[in-house]
Amino acid sequence: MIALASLRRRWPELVGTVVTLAVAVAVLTVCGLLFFSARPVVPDRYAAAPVVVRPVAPTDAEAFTEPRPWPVERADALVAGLARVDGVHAAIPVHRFYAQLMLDGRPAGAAQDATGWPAAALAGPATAVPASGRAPAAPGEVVVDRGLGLAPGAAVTLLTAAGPEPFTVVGTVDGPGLWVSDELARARAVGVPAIGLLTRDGTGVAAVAAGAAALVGEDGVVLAGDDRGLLEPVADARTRWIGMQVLSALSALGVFVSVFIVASTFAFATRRRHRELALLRLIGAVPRQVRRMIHGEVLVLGLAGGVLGVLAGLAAAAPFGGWLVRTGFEPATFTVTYPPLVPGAALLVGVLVAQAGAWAAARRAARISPLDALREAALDDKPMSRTRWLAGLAALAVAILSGVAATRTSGANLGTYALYVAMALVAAGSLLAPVLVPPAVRLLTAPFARGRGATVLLVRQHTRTAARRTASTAAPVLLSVAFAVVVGGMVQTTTAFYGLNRVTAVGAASVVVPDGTPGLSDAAVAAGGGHSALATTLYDGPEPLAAVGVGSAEHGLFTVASGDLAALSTQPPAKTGEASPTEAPVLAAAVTEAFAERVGWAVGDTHPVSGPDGRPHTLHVVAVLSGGPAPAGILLDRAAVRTMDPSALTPVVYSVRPADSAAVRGLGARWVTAAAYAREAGDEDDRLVWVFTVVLIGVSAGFGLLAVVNTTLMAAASRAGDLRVLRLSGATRRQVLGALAAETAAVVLVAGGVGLAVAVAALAALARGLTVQLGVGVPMVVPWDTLAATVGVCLVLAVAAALPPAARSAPGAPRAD
Amino acid sequence: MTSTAAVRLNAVRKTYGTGPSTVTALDGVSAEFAPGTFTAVMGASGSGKSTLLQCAAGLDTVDSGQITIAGTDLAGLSEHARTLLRRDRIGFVFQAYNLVGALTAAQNTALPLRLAGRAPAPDAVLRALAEVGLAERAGHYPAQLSGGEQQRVALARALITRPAVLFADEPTGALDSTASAVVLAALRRVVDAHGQTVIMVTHDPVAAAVADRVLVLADGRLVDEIAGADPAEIAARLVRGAVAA
Repeated sequence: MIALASLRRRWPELVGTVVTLAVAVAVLTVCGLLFFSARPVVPDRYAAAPVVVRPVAPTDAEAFTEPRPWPVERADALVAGLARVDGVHAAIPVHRFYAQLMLDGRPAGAAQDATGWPAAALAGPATAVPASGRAPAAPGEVVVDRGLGLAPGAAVTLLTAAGPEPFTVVGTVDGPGLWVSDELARARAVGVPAIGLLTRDGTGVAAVAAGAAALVGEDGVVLAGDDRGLLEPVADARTRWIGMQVLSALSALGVFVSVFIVASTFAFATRRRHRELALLRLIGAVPRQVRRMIHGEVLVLGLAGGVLGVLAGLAAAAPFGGWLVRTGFEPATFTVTYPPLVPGAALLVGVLVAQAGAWAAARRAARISPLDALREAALDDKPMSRTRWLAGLAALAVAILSGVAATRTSGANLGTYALYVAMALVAAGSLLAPVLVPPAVRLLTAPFARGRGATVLLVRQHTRTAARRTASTAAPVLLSVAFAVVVGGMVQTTTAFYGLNRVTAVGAASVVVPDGTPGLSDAAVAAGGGHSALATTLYDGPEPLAAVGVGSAEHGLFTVASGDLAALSTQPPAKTGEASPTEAPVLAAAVTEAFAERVGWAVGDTHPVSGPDGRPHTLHVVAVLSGGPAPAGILLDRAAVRTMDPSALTPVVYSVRPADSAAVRGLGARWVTAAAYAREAGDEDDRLVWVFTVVLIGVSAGFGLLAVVNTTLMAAASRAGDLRVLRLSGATRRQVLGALAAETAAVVLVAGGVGLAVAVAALAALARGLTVQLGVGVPMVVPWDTLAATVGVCLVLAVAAALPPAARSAPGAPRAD
Repeated sequence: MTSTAAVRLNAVRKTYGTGPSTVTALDGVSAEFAPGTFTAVMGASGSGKSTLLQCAAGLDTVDSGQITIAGTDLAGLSEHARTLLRRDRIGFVFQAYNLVGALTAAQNTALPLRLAGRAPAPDAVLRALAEVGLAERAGHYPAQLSGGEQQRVALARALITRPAVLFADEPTGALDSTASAVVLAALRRVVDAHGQTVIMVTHDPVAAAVADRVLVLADGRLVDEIAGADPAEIAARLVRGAVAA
């Protein structure tokens, strides 16, 4: 009853909290819905195959590499066996190779491979029966999507790993894809990635799946029903994974900021109600009752904000999902579903977050002495309680540990540690703000302290005597500035790192990069005439090992620690006479020091691996490379890679020639200067990361600004009494507002400075970690424009929020309260 | 007459601070407050009268000596037990801000019962308000009541649990003389009509004259006891005491 009655009276000062909670719950609802909606869907090309058998996938789903395929001959044997399984009408191996249709010199259509015609049956009758023309029979024939507007007889160009090749359209189908004769597809296939099973009418899918599983044993995985979603392209899986990162970061941010805002709002409210709470204690409320009352109030706020948030979230999910697809965070197959569990969970999290935020305030309220009800004015309590000191110092310790960890880690963890540093420092900064901010404000205003005016005196004294109020205004500014600068700086620092990484040591004048294609064909590589590496994947068992093929021209780019790099291309054929269990051909390889250390390989060792086509090979280590960046852990001979992997593509060519875009026209490539390349957020991942950054900055700054307005409003309202006294002692309205504006501005500037310090610490840890990783000095980039914009907006909002309540305070009689 | 006193203080000492800055607020005070009596405690600022009230109500601890309320020795009680004792056996009225602003007069009055987990009977609340002459103001919020009315609501709330003793700390300190008179009359009535024990700290001889007797404190000691005097006489005795001390 007290909780409800109290809320009814105090609602204006709690609107900010409810709005914050609503926004957080809305973010959680949207993220949750999208999270559960982001399930892999069955690719169209397997739509008509109720059961699909595929090779064993790597253990780490986040490696985003295709599973090791079956060698074509092995697949033939499996197909023969699967065709005899009860209920199977046909078993069809998928033979495919990299190919894109080029129209007017540009890649057209969604298909990025050409598939043998028999596999069209797995997609369904619309694809398996040509809408016009006939099925492909000869090597130079192709069937295309009718939607492209090509008619049988048209001469077209397919871009393959070798380069542009002339084809003749012999038919069209209703559906995406490029379909060629099985003879051609089989000849160029890089192993077999899947075998589709068509079942007889009236046969149970489960029975067929069981029969197939018994037949393939440990050599494959049988997928039926929705599990066939696992067959989606790895690029889609990767896109969705990035989307998940965005959603989790947004959710985490929402929760963190909500706890923060509820905590500061209620700490504030508790101080304002000190006397009332003391009265309750005096007339017989035990501490537990006071605590429960605060939690009761927060429960109501949490539910109110939660319900609003869930409604907003449900409404916003579909548009936001569409946006994720358009930006590329989710594959085009993505649709939003609405499991009722999600809004319920979001509501619950909202309530729990509110309770967690109010925990400290409730504890504090319960400790209020009943004697305080009898005192004329509640004593201004100590700005720093012992718990606050301990918590602040603990957060600082966590920040330092994370910083140290950041300099010793690598890869994706680095960014995470840098964020931990920032979060811990934001917490530490907010907790220690009562000791940090007032001296800083005094320092900032020191030059003006000798003036005769009252404004500076008031500003200096107020920030000192009301340390906690000052701190609560400063905290959200600190949060906004620190996160905006950290996230912006992280992206710019890592972009600088990757730019360095790309051009380091190559001394390239220009760069050939893919344009609308997943990689460069040999024709584009030849046109570029520079250094490059042909990317492929070897397999240790089912586990992928990234490898590249390089030619003798590239050998000079690497420093050899031991062994002989030249042996990559001059490796003699396998030694005969040894009792080798298989006829596996020998593959000469150089490995980087880091990779060799990780797996324990040395020069002269041999290791059994599978090639990109799934065939067994014996890897012979001929050299170990020292330090410096390398395109992959394993280097092979370029020609050997091409033999094993007819679909392998080259990610980039570093050329010493000047950029010449005409030379790569029609090859799905762009030729740009090295400077432009290092500068541009060139590839797709960079663009996604950039969008991700903007979203994160937007949401965190948005939350922070909400908090700035909220706490400033509360702070201004709480000092109505002070201001009335000022007016009564002869200050004009203008003087009062001036002092208030000056004080707010000083606090915002100081908090912005602390936020910048937090961000610089986190970015320094990041840059240090990257430097260690790359072995080349990576400059720390501080995004000054982001800093200026954030501080500017905070300044405007805080002053704008502080003045209206003060402007309303007349010098008249005190309100009965 | 050991257990008949509503409140009994025996050689109570209370000091604040340590070392040279030690202030002795109560210096061996002994006093008894019989049920159904109205006692005023007077003294100059710093004489220890507020400390006396706070210690007697169990809000503050004492250095030595003994305090019993309705036969219960405060010394042996935990903070929790003292809170429950306050809730059930002690009523408070003090200078200002006696009421929870978010609650109506009736809700404020019923608060101690609710805190005790007892459902207040509506007529009990109304009766308590009627006793202080505010039955028709039950639904008003404190901000809608005058200072004197607020003090009378506080009085109603203090009486709703039928406490063993009612402590009043300058209950008229923030009121004009008319409102003071109404509040004091209400206090006098609860003593006369219901046998309520009242201990009131005040510096106002007019207020003190409403009491049955007046205890005068100076420098933490009881220096005078006046019974049945009028305001002028009390004022005169106070001045004499102050001169003597």
